[in-house]
Amino acid sequence: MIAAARRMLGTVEPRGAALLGVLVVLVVAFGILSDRFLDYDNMANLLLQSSITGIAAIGLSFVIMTAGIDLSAGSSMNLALVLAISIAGTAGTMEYTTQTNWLVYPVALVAGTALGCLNALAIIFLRLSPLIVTLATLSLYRGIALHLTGGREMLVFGSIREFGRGLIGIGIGYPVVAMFALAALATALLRHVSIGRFVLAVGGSERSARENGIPTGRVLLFAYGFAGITAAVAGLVLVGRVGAVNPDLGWQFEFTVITAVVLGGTSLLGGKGSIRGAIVAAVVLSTISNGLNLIGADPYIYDVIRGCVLLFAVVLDAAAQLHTPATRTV
Amino acid sequence: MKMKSGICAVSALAMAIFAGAYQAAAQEPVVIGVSFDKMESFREGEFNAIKAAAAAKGAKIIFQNAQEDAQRQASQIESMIAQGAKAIIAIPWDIEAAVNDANNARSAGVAYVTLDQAPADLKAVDFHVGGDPCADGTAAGEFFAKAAGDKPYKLLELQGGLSNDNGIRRSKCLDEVLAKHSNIVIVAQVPTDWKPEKALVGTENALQAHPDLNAIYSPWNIGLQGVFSVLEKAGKLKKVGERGHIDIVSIDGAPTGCQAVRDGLIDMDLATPVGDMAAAAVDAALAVATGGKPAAPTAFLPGTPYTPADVATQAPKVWGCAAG
Repeated sequence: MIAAARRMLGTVEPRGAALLGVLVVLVVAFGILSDRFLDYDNMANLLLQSSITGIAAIGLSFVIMTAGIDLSAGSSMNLALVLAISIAGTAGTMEYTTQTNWLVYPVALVAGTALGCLNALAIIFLRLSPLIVTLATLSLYRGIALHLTGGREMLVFGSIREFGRGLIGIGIGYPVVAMFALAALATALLRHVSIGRFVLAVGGSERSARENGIPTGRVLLFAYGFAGITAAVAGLVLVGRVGAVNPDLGWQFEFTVITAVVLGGTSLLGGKGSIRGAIVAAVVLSTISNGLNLIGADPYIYDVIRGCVLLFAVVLDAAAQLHTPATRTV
Repeated sequence: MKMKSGICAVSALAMAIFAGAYQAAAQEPVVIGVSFDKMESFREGEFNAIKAAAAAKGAKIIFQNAQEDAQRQASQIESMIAQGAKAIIAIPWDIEAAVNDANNARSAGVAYVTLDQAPADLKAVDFHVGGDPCADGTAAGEFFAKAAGDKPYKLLELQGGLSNDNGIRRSKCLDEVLAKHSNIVIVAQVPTDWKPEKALVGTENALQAHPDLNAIYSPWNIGLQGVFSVLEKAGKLKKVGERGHIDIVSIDGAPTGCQAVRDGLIDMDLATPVGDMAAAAVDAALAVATGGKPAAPTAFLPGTPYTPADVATQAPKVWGCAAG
């Protein structure tokens, strides 16, 4: 049994092990401080609360693995959902309500993909830095969404709520299933499909990748498009859970997602990353908020605790990195 | 003689031109630059109220949205002054930066009025008008105290932005009232940064820890949808008066808040008097821009409470009921 555990731990990167260690410490600490924290229902809630960040982090991991960045993730999410609800929603009983049917899903996914691809096209054809392009589209996409909604909050009913709030038999939310399914798909793409492997190659060295015949433009289009899809899925979950779209939806969401991706082991320099790590990091971020809520913590210390835990994780990771060579585990 | 009459004619012409120009200037509408920190339902209500108040006074407005960026707001205000604005009505994103913006505008001879969000130093502005977050928090606290009576009572307090005046005082004054009632326990104070998703998660977690929760305080209407979502999932979304109902008080008077009261889902909403605030801001801006001064340097207007029992009669006083 010890040998089996050793074999299992042997497949976990030092950075992943550090993050898992932080998660275990948090779970133990909150488990002691709150008698409800370890309840099955709370664990299911915790996964549900992690799913929005986790889903978006899967797509953004691809972008960051190419040595890119997408600062427009929150705005893409917002605009994709506003477009989907505007196109596929039907008038509700009042001016600020709308009904949705199944069409909202394909429209949101197409819109998310298109917004992600627009980022990639600007990066490829205008030869601009991803930081500059997505900084611009952060403002552009949010501005368009604001214009379409007129700044109003819109209550959303119908099928979109079923996705955000539905449960499978064991009490696990549909969004959690979606997160794990997307993570499995992303991992398979990175390990077994050429476009996925090209993502890491482009992030390692774009020039070498091009010289070796890798279609770097198509790889970037794929990475940013996929990030757009996951942003739209995260938006479907968020709107389904809250039951409303408002202009603030997804505001500064990109920073939470980037935190999860980087904390999860994806290098901002590209060429290296971990989908598993991004999911664990999303769970760590949600665990902090969930635990602090449950123990009734002082509202003014939330950011302090969050900052300390993240700093601790980074220091632990840096210590682990000192003793291991660079790897490309996904 | 000819020369004298010529001088008289030129003088008369000059006076006529000056008088005409003066009259034209007097008829020219005063331009008011309106700078918002962001746009959402509540801000939309405020903007519509300012437009109506300015139109009633014959003033022209130019509008800019800073999208939650203090630097952008400062640039936009400078640009509006360059476009000829004689007064600025601002909802500051950053209450410290608002002091600089006010100093810059006033040193350029432009009136500076703040609406809704008070700047860090009220003396920096010509006039400030806003809701009364403390009065609203107190009214909410008194409602909960009355609802609790002498029974043990568990309350979840959602909080707005902890770095802005409305967020801080809507909570602080609620807490001061509840502190006098030992039977009321605030089981969690959840900072939300005015984000509905954080209100949802906070409610989910609090209900997990305290399934016997009696009450929820949502200091802004947009937070309500997340609260309803959690209560519905837990089978606890009951109307006022129904067995198992969780008492809910909110603030704003937005269309969705009004609808929640009409549907009997919340016990009380405190409607911010958006129309009165906008009218006071426009009056003060015009007064200062034309060389006068407002009657008082500040005005804080408490919200209008309305409940499912009196929403029909109170609706005309609630901006969101009219908008819906």
